[in-house]
Amino acid sequence: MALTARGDEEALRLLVERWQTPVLRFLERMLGEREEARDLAQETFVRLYRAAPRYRPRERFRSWLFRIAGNLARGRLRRRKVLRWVPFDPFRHDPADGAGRADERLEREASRAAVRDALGGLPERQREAILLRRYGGLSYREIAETLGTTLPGVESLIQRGMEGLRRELSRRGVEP
Amino acid sequence: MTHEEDRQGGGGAGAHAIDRLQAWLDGEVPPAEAERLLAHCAGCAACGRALAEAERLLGALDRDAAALNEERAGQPSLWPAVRARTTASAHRRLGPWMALTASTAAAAGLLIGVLLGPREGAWGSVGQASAEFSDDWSDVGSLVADGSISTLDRIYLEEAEEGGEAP
Repeated sequence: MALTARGDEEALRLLVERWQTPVLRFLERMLGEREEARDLAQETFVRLYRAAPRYRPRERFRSWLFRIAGNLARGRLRRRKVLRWVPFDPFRHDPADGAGRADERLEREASRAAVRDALGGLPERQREAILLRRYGGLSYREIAETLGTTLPGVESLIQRGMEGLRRELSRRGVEP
Repeated sequence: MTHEEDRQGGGGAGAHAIDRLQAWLDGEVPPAEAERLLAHCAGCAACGRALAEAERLLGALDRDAAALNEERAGQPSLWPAVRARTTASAHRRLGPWMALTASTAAAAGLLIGVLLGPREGAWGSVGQASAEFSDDWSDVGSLVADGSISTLDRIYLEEAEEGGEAP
């Protein structure tokens, strides 16, 4: 980050290459839309570059990065005016795996779609905490820094979020 | 000891086992507490079921995350777009007058470098540095040429509407 702050292009390239996948995964599930996630992931790294001189080494890098991504995602959701999930549209997404049999793939996709939709129905902060943990790979301490809350607060958000997911999937008759 | 007995007893791991299951599965409880939770779940049907359900749900989330990785593997890197925008951003920070001054300095340096030719020494370094600098400007020039700058103008206007930098 120190090199990036001094305008070292190679340092920024390494950061983008290393972190783009978890950031994209997190944003795609926050927003429910792949192209929009890609736009905001790009924007996240541009803002990271601009804010690099203000980065304090004591702060965890992942917390810093995902705070930018989370702020952008929440801003975009507010801009949509509707804090609702964009429902999964199979025609907008590529199949994950072309090797399996068609029925197995459909079943797998249906299960993924149910999980995605259930995630989308969660309160925003519960969803964000779960996504930071499972899709971003952050520890509870890092999530607490990212969301500006305490460790017990994170534990509670994730616990309630997972309980909400389980209830929603059960209501839909989906076995995870 | 069952979950209910544990709860009614008000002690041991069982009293809060279900509440702490998720943190335990996420590796966020101390080892000693993890051992107590494991021992409790082995003997408590309710917590054992809750544990199995939580593990299945985590498995579903992890499969989705892994599938996203596979989908992502075939897509281009974000780097070229980020690079284009950060290069343009550096240009913008210089401002038009600074840009003109910098361009003039670069051209003068380049001229000195050419006149001094292959000679070694401090003036040779100036020539080389100027050539590298002018490479940077050729990047910005290509952005202007392919119309990217006007697209960036629109993006910056949108940012200004959205508000300040984060965090």
